[in-house]
Amino acid sequence: MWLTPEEVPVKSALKLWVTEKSNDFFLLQRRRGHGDTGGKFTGMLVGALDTVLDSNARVTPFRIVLQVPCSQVSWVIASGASLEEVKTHWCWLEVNLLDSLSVFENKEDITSFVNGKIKGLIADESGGQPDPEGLREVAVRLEQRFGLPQREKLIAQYTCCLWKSHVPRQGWLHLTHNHLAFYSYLLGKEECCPRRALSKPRDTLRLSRRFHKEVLSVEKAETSSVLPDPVIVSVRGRRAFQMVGVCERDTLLEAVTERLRTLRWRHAIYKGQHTQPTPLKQRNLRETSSAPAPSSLSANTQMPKHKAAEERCKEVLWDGRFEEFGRGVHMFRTACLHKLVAMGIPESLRGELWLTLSDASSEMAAHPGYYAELVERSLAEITVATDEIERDLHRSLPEHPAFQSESGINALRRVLRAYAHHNTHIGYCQSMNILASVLLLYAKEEEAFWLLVTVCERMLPDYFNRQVIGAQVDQSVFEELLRERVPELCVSVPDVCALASVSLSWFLTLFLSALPLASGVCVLDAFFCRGARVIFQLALAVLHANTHTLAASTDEGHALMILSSFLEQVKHDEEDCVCAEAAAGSAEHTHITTLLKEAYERFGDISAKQLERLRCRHRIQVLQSHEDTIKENASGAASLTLAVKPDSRPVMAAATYSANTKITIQSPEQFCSCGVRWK
Amino acid sequence: MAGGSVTECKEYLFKVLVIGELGVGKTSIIKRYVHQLFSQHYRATIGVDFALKVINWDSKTLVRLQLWDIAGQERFGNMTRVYYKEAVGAFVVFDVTRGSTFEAVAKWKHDLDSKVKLANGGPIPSVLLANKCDQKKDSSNNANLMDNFCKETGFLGWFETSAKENINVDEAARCLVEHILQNDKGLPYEESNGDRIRLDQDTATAESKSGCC
Repeated sequence: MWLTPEEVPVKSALKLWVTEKSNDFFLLQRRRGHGDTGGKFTGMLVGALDTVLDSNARVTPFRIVLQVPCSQVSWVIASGASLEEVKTHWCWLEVNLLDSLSVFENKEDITSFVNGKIKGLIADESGGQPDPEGLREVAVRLEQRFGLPQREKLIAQYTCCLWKSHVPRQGWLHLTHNHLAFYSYLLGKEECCPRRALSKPRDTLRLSRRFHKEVLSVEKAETSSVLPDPVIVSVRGRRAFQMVGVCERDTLLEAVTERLRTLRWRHAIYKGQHTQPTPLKQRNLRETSSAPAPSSLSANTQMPKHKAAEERCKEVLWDGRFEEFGRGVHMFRTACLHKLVAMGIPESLRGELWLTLSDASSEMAAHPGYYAELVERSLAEITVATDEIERDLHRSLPEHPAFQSESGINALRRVLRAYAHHNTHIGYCQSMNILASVLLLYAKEEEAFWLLVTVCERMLPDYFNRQVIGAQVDQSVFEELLRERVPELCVSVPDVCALASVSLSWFLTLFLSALPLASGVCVLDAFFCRGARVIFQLALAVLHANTHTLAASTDEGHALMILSSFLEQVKHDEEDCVCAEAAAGSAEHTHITTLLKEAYERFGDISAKQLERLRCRHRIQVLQSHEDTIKENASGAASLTLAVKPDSRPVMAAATYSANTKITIQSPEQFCSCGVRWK
Repeated sequence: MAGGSVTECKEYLFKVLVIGELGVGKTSIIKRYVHQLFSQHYRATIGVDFALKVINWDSKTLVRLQLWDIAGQERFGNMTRVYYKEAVGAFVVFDVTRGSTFEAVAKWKHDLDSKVKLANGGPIPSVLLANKCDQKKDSSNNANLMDNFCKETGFLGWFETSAKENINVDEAARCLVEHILQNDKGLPYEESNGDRIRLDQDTATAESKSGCC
């Protein structure tokens, strides 16, 4: 991390830092006592000193110092937790600065030049905002101490004293966007348990609602001689903390109250009580236990013992997480959350977490009774959409027992019809049936509906409308990404466009139509957690994994068949995970978590922002070509009009339209035989 | 490659499209033809699906048919054109129990002809399949009307098929492949039309009527 340059004396009485690397102007130093100098007494001393003083060097034991020759002062310009981290800075300096520095004659010029550069870098990193009080460094430490997500921005910090069981604990109170965190460090506490002791003197209090440690209010209390400037922080669970000696007490109060107000306002619209989903799957499996379960679903229907134990284990992990980071829309998203999701969400929590992660639950809470109303209104109507829905009901997830019974089919019908009624602009698009049926397996009907709304309207915008424009745009974006990110494939396969076109169903069904169900739901987990970019990343990873086999393919049909058979064999058995990872790529059956991991590692840098930019660009092209097609079709449309001549013989009236005798089919019954009964 | 035998064996790879309205049974026909199977439980096709059928046409000819099963919903029409590329034959399917799917046949045929052409600029050979004939409710004979319709719209012929009961699926495929082979040999297919009619009428079974142009 670059630091706002700070002056330090060149020579200090205690040799606190050991120089690891140096050149004419810079020194890369390591804090003594950190790393392998173990036995030396000075090392231990410095280590102990750092611990006692809670110096920054405990967190960032490496630094880079600007040392202009013959100068009395040097400047700390960067620090880092690991050698690798500072080394990247070191390299940057060597590449970008070192040559130009030798040109300067005046040493002051060098200092100001370097300092200017570093400040510029910091400004770049922090989005153009200056960093007057070194908050950046504090933020990094906070992140480590409290496990706060990186996005958590530090708003302010205050020195104060926590008054707890008559012992004052001097420390810092940090206010971030969502947390109020107090950190104090006391001598003595450290010694007994060097790593764990940290958890004792720290307290994170959450600002958001519905937590056992949720902050309810912050108030001033009467100042007394013993306790100057006290502030009472009340948290849920009838607990309160008393802070004393708070500097800038009023600004603190103002800032916290302000944050509380913002957060409360945001949560006010969500009435969301906790609901335990009773997914369709469980309900229906009981009813249809006699139905034959295809092998791919046996894992779901009858969970083997090891699987059940593993599920239980995951549930425990999630429970722990809920305890600490909350449950519901306000759950905090940390790196740890992504890891848990990547392991696969346990079956019992899947529906709930999909709702939470996608925030469909707030939509649902904001529209109570809406779904029931829609269902009622939609069941009576007959439109093209309802007809198409009817045809697809039994073709959505036919192999699953839940959809071999009327109750499952009826639920699917209600959800799809309600959606078609809710959004007439989209109506019904094939692939929504597959999405909805999988959603129904894990969520209640109403929840499934809102998840579908979230997917169709927010997470995959424009995908399912009358022209499927959004999906076409993404197909085009995917093609560009493919050329850029998997160039070796584009060399061996000339027609990348055709390859990208296979992605249509991957995108429209979020891989559910291509993968076995158990693996497909893992993709949904990732999708709800990270958004649409996961689908791009996974699609790229799939093509990347098949680069060699695709290169050997003879034609595009063959290539597409290679891909579909590859995906059909992506497995989700946890016990195979270890060996699959070892043999990934060469193994005939890839594991879904391996594939997802591969996708994140290789293509994780593809951001939502980047996708948005690409989409904007490709959208114009897609709309243009779409318009061309419409024009083309319109010119030929006249020739499509079937006309009936007086002698009742059907003919194609080329480019002419005879309105008086247009064919009408009056009812399907009339049509029963192979042909049309002409009027 | 089928080399090595005394008689020189010729191998062909043909891309054949299967198109038609939503739910007319395109996938079922393909599964019946390729795997000799029928199930009520096929998933709706999203985008496109494929299947490969290898036919030992005669002692000297091996034909690989690549069947492209194209999603039927109208809104995908605009994007499925990319799948038409380089196709040399097509089945257009409709459902005899639903009049609207027959109405759409002309639309599909037009779409096909405007988006893909043979090397000589002519339309690719196509066969009309009147599927689900096992479910039709009256047995009135519209064979003449259908023949005329095929002539007007440019189909090679039409077949009443049932993927479920395995009626006429192989026959229809044979009809199409024969034409594709003829095109491949550079014969203008008008010349062969006389033969075609005879052959199809021979294969038609008593209970299911079929015709060819």
